[in-house]
Amino acid sequence: MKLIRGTIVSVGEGGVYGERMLNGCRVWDPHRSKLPAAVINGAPLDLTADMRVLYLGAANGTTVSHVADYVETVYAVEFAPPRPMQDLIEVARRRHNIVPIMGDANRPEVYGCFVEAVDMIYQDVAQPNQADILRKNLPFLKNGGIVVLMLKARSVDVRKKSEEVAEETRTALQEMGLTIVWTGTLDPFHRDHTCMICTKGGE
Amino acid sequence: MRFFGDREEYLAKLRNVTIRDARRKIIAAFSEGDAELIQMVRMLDEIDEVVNLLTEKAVEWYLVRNPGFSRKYKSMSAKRMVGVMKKERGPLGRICAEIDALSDQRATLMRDVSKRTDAVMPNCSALVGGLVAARLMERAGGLSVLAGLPASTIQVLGAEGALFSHLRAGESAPPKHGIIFQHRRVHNAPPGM
Repeated sequence: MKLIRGTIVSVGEGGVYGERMLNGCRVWDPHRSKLPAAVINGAPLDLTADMRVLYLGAANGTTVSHVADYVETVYAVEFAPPRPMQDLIEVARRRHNIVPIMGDANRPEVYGCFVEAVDMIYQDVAQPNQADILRKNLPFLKNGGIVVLMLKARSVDVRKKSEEVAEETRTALQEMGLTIVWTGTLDPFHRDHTCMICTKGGE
Repeated sequence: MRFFGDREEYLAKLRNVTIRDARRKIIAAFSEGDAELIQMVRMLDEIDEVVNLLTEKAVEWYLVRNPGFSRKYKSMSAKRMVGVMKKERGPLGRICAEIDALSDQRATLMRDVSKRTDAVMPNCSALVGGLVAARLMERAGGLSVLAGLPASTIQVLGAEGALFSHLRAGESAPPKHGIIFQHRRVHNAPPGM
């Protein structure tokens, strides 16, 4: 990750959503975006220029645009509500390594024809079955690939504590054959979120 | 056989396909008729809010100019109050004329919403009335979403705050009704029914 005086930035054309610029680089605000929040909290994460990423829950493409600055290709999946998708298409028009896909992350068989084997799955979906969605999309991940799961506890079950949901999800991930390498919260940037980083197979 | 010269060409073609596919889906979602109804309901509720806020401020202004008035306005409807204030000379009168015009717009929009609801969701509209039906659909996020919701969810649509605070803390009682409370059979129902 590129840092300028302790601030996470990405290198690319600015003006995507009104982000600040620093020495010609785009400031990646941990308050707006979960990925830099995880990195600040110590997540061992690096986005490299040769990576292909499957991004589930692309929303309006804010985070996607930064990820795309770092990696080779991003497959950005977003579901129904038309407004975020319109924004995402607009972001993708300016960044030619984003493939915007309108589809339901619950049904990878529908959009699977557009996706290839990827080095990283980044998942940030506000759904009750977040672990299940990851399991369904796991076939896209190469052996040795990385999973970045932004777990939103409140979407899973409002009655349970964040830690309980994280514990259940941890078990579910291990049952999928994933190795969890890092777990941490996104406090103080995003409340009730747990970030989990896993690897698939091998070392 | 190679279909694409290189990866760059492949990705460019792929993006063409996926963007076109997304655009088609967006157009399809917008042309269902419920998409515009949702926006109409939201505008209606927003105008309500704005008219109330402006009226409140105008009344405070009016009271400064007419200190003896304060008792009377409480027994007066907001609409009539605006009518009285409209006759004031100067900026207050002009602004109250605008508020009045806006609440006329609101009344017209309400009829438009009812009419549109009759067309988009005739059965639900006949059952609970145009406005309540439209608000339920707006809160659900679409007609097909609403159609698929369990009855228990529809019962508390619009009372999410109360529902979640009940589920989380368990101290407050669960809400009995959300938007459906606006239906006269519900809010006029005898207690205990």
